[in-house]
Amino acid sequence: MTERLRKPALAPPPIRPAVPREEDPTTFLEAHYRLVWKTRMADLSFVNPALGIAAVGFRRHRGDWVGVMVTPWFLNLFLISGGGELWGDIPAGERRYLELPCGTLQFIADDDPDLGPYQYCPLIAPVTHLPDMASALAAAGDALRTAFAAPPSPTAPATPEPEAAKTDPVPSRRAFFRRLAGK
Amino acid sequence: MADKPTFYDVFRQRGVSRRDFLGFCALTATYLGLGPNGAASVAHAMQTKPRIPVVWLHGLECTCCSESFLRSGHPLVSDIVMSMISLDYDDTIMAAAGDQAEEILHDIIRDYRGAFILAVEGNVPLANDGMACIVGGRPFKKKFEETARHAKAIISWGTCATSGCVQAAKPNPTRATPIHKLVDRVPVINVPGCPPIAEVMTGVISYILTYDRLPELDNRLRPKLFYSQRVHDKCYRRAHFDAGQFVENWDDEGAKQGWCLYKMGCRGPTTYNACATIGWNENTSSPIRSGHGCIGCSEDGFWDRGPFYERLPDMQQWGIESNADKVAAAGAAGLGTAVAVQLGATAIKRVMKRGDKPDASATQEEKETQA
Repeated sequence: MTERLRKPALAPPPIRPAVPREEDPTTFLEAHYRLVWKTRMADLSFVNPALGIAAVGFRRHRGDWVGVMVTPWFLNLFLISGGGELWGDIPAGERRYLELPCGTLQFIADDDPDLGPYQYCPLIAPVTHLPDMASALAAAGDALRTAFAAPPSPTAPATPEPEAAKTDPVPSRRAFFRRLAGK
Repeated sequence: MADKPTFYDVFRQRGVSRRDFLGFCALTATYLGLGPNGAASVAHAMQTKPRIPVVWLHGLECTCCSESFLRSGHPLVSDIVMSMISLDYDDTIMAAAGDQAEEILHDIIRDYRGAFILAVEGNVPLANDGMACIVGGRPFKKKFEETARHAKAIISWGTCATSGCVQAAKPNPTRATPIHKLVDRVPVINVPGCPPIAEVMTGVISYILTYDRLPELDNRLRPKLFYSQRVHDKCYRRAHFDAGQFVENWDDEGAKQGWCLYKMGCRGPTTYNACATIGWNENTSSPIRSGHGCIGCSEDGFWDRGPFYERLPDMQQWGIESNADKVAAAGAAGLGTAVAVQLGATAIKRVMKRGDKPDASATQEEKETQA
């Protein structure tokens, strides 16, 4: 292979190592996103005012915090460093693959001045089609249950009913001409 | 066909080493997402199949697609151009001129009837019998019609050819018409972008030439390999969007920090292209990486979608997060909570199933349902 002639115009930002969080990040995250909503997100078209802020089901998984964050503009699976083995420092804006009980998921890294480094897997965005907070919370709970459940055993996908089976196998002469006439 | 050289023969004649050839095959296989054995199958096809001639026509366009293609990072690409295209027919880069050039075109149509690939850059202006674009003393419309019906397949390069681009912007005085609306019996593959990314162009052409068939296309005839995800989905500034960190003014602190350009008019959320993953000029940069929002150049009618520096007007044009499942999303909108319960599970399953490659048709269809 030939040598690379051009260098990337932009180097990723330097890695700021995450400070492990000892306590449950639920309150902290909710407070942060409530502030973001009120200040920077208030007037944007993709924000769904029917939804609120909620950190759902944060728990330690292999030592780090995993949970679903619901906001009026996204529903994402979050990973916060808790000093465990799931977390890994990578530059903000890059992606990494993580093994969860359900399988491998891709996480985006960010380094927020207020939150510090965190990583997330976008699940639903925009959330404009979610009718209310109850359904958003239900979706979040469901996503968590799926993420921490063992992957379903590979079964044969349900074969859709063939088109032919629905129609009369031996079309009548009348039906044949009707079809021809486009009726 | 035995006397016709294979791609590999042509490469070797041009002094390309086998090592470089295999490197090219590996790179192409990677772009095409062919998996671990992909490089071997590309190499095998290139060594055994006779090369297919490509005729490259230029209609109403600016030649930026050719410029992009020629500046593709990999040196072998220039060999592909020189050996497969220039020797046959290309208005811009062939050595022949005048009657000699037109003679070549006739020869190709005669010798390879139904067997050559027609690559079209630009569209066909239909108004006034095509008088807005004259090539070789005749309307391009005529030349296109004569060539297109004998082609095996047509590649529409760039937004000009796929949706009309600036020539078709309102009020479209020349009736500039995209290629796929002018042919009905020849398969068309749309490769939009103004211009398309060089690696996308070489990827598409390599796929067709080696496998002798079109790659999988979405409902707008775009190859799913490269046009299945929104620029927003893979944007390196994506996290700033979700975190609510926006550039509010050019040269403000956010701009210096590289925050999200949505409020400055970025079209990333509505644009399906590979800029965020493949990048430009051998991944040196991309519009967003250089601090400018995406203008959505690969989307239909992007010139008529409002000023480039005003934020996206409404949700109508928004694409859906590639992780969200089509059925679940549509269901949630229509049926409410009962279906929404399944939404999270479906989203997770979808992310897992595809790994890094979303199902393009779903996101695209979803986008259209919304629009």
